Amino acid sequence: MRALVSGLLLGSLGVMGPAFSQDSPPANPQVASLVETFGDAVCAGLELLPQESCKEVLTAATSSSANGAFDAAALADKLKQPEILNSALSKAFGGSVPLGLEFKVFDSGDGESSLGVAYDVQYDFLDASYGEGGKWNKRVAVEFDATGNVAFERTANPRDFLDTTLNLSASWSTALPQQDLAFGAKLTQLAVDTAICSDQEIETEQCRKTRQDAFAMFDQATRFLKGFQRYEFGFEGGIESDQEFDATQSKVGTFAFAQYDAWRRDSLLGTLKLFPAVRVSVDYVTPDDETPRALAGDDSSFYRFAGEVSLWRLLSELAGTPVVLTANYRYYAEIGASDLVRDAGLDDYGLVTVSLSGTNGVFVSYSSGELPLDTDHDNVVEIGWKVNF
Amino acid sequence: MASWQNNNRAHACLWLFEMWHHDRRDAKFTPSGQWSTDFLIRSAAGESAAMRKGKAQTHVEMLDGAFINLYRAQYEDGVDRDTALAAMLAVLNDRDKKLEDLGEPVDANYRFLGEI
Repeated sequence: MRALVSGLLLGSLGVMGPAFSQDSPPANPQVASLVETFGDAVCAGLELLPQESCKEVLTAATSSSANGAFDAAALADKLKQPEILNSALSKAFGGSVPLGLEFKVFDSGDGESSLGVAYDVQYDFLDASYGEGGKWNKRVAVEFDATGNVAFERTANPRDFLDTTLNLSASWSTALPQQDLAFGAKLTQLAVDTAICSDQEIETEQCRKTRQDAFAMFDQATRFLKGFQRYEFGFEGGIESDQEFDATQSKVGTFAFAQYDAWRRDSLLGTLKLFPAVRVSVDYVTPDDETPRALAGDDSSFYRFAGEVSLWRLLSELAGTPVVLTANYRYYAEIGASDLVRDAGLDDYGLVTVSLSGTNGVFVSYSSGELPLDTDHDNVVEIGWKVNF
Repeated sequence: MASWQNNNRAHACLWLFEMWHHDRRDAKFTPSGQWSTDFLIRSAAGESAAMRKGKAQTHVEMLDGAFINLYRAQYEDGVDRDTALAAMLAVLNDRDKKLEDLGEPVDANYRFLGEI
């Protein structure tokens, strides 16, 4: 069985060709019982596969055998699950997968899903804190960052472009006021007591008091702060690409980022329980011949302003799950665009996304607009389980 | 699989701060372990990778401040602020991770008062 499953996995990765008939036999009611009885024992010896994925493959294989023919479609379906492919990938590279490659399922927004791959390469040439003490924590960093998600089905690609950057930045964040050791010891003990108390079926009066005391200590320690702030400024250069790697453009420029998390209700943002973050940049962009702008007849380099505003607000609780309203707006505008670019409607792009989500992934979202290098998306309303891009 | 334990000081201290920070004052410990990193860093749908990364950085700096200055925890031997932040950032940059996953680098890099 180990050899069979290993062979199937290698086949799915292109190492071996398919060796099964295309006939799909009907479901056999005895299969579930067989897998239930022997699944744990068989899968225990198959460390290559996650336990649940192993049982699904076992179900498909057993079902096929019980009907005298392999159910190739069912097997292929099971093998194309990210858990199985990632497990095989991890095994192949001894747990250290290059480029942070990971298989994922992408939701195309029309109820269909598609397998794809995510990559994530981050390398810090320099990441150092300095000037500790005072009101701000300071940090300088030089980082390389390449992150992207590419679906195998073009229509399921996330509404974004692929960004690879090298950036040099300096940042400042709020330094929390240092408390004495007695404060720290009491708060630590209250944390453990509150955590243990919170998992009890019914919260006792003592537990309620423990929880309130813990929150009171946080409130007291941060009473001179209205919230937590972080600001970052820097220079960055890199390459932007569409999801198919057809159109690319290089960029070099400067950026600024700011985030404010209100902790107290005596400010406008605190009263509204609204948490904003803003990022702006000015870039010098050099497009290649496949970008929409170059195809329209202007392949010259240009300056571009980019701005992004993100808002986050906790609304209420639904069946024990917090419900969060988020809004995000991304805007890109070419500075001093030619008439040709303006007439083609390629001088500015904007994309707004509004969503309702919970911590368990249920969501409703609406997106409208376009991003640079991506001019063929429609307005989209998505309802369902959230797939993270 | 992360081991999210209410009697683990690092996990309990992380949970209590996140609960206070997110104003979820009635949250229970065990189910809170499933809070997504999107929720923790206040990520918005549709935001750019650069925006999300900025928010994750903000969150790890806030957590470090809470652990060191409020709880008065110390870095484990051989760990400094930058390595502790990087370890937490690796979790928060992954949208598939949960609060219970964040508990692992917190436990590994910070020594809380009373920990053996």
